[in-house]
Amino acid sequence: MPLELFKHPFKIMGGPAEIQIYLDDRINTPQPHFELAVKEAQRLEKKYSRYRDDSVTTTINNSAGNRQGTRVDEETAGLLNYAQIAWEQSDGLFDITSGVLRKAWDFKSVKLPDQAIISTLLNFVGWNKLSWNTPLLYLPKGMEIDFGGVVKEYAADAIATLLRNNGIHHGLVDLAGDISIIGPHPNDKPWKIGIRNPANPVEAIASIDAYEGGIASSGNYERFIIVNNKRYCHILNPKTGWPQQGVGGVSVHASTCLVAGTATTTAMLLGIKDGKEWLRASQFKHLILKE
Amino acid sequence: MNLPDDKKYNKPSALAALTASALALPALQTQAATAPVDNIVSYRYSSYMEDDAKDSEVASGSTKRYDIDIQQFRISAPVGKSFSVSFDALTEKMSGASPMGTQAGADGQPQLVMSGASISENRDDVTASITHYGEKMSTGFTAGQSSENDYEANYFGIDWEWEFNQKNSAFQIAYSQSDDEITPTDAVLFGRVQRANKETQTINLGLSQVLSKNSLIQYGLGFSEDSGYLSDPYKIDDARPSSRTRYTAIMRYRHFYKESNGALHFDYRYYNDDWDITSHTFNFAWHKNVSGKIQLIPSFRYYSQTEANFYEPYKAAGNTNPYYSSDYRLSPYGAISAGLQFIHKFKHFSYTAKFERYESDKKYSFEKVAVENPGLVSYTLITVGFDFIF
Amino acid sequence: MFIRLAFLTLVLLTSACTTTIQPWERGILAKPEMQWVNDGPGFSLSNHIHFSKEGSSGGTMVVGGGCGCN
Repeated sequence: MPLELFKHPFKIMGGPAEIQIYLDDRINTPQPHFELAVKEAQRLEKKYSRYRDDSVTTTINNSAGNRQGTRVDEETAGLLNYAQIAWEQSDGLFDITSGVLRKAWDFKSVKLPDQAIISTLLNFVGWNKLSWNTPLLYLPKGMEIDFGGVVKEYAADAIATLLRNNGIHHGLVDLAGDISIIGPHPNDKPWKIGIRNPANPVEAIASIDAYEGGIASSGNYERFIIVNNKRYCHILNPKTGWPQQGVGGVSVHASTCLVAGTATTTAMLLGIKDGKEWLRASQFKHLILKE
Repeated sequence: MNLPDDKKYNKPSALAALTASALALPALQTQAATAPVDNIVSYRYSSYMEDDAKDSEVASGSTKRYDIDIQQFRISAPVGKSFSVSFDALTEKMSGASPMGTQAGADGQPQLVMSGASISENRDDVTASITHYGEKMSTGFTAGQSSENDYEANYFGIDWEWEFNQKNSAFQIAYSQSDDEITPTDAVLFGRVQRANKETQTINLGLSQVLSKNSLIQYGLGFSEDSGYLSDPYKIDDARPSSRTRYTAIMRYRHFYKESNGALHFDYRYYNDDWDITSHTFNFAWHKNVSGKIQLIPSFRYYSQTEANFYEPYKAAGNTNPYYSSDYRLSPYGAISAGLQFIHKFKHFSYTAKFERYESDKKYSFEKVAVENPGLVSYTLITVGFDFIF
Repeated sequence: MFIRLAFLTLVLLTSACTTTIQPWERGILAKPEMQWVNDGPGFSLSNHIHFSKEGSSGGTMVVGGGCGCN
């Protein structure tokens, strides 16, 4: 029974996305699977969007300072548990409370932020400052939770799992470069995932062969400003409020896109030497490129 | 930025801890057995034709043995994300004569006493089943009824399957029960029991294991207990014990050969019961993909059984055993069968045709058989059918 | 009994020499010809015929009732 490849491009979470699945279209149509995938992506986008009044993120952040804390649902609890482990394993570099720092940085201008503002904001950054005891989250006043660093990767994995549970055995989910694999090509050949050249992000400098799992990439080319010939990218260190220099781009291939994303963020913030060392010692499959 | 010296983490645990935490998220749980996504409707028509008894083997009655026309319907459909339901209906129309007993012929060899003119009977069997597919475990429940003018069976079963070892292994356990009521026709006229009951309870255990990306193996053990009226009311002098304990052990193997684009099937069953019948069954099949759409499946089966401890080819004068039967099914013999099935698959539709020839004879038995029961059957089975998948 | 011992040995040997295959390697195992039962209605009919016409039964997980045919 020959399987054909069906692709479905769409937009989600502010970026381009694509679902690719192999199906025997004499037995099944791809449309229902694509609808399922897009619906799930939209569900997660709505649920964790910072910009929506009815999102879980907004509800949590509005409850900051509330002594009773907020009760969260099972899915959010799972993500908060994950965020806690990620904070511990990255030595505090992966921190979903670091979102407030964006108030200091304006990546549309060519100005460096005011250090006084950064210092003030740092008082409101730090996972250790909040209290998370499932299912209750207590967030001190002025602090914010931002799921932006996990939701896209998590969505890629969730959609891949959903399609796999619906009988798709070969395909992948690509949410603006955060990739979760449903299964390899039907001839058992791996997907070839291109890695961007940090010096010229429109071209691929290498490719990763992946049969399963997730691939995430971070780079200093995504959002940045250049001041005095130095590049300041959008990945900020929650302990200092500043980005790390040295890493042009890093890609990690892990069992899930979620874990891969945590690893790339951590590596970016460790800088080229420590980042390389951390990835190697942690046994993450990775590709790290100098600035 | 250097890592603080006071925080010494065992780095490989980072990968493990993160992975474990990620996989604990409900949306990232893969379901165990993948719930089927297709709706399937199937129909089969089969013609089962037994060879006529030989004149030399029949003492009296008709030599025409059973012809059965069988129709099978099946509908199966997914319900929601984790359930599937199926419904099976079977209807049989039987005609022919059957052995009522045996008697010693002139040469001391047993001969059949056959029933008279052809009888025509119908049997209908309906079964419904529902299965739930969970993360690691699937659970199923089945219930059904089989009814004929003189026999009704009500049955149900529950089964569980656990997958483990990254779905490379699976453990199955199933329980089933059947409660039957027999109301033989012309009971008063022929001195048969007028109403009797029989209950069967069965437990099956199975273990499946993926051996490689091309092969699988499964082992199973079964235990079954029959109790109640187990004799055949239509056979003269047939008197069997009121209980029967049965054991089975099976092994099934599947191996895919890439070069030949086909799968080899091998199944073996060992059977033993407390009536002293022991049997061995071997099944071989080669599922060959001839083209993208066509599958050809030749198959071969070998069967051999020993006799029940109260079986006699005919009732001898001095036989004081409280139990007796001359039913060929309890006699020692062997049987071989060969078949060929053809399957043609299209968009949303496939059709199939199968031919099978089955012959039993004392010479096929593992062990030497002194006297062959004249009632041994040989038959031809032809099946045609189709499936709609949508 | 000899048969029981042989069976047990076979089970233990099999468990010893198995490899774990990854999800992406399961393509062949998912083919219809690699299932335990390729033709459901056909298998169920065969089971019923052998149950009615022979002295043994069972060994499958098929749930079924009796019939007057044996």
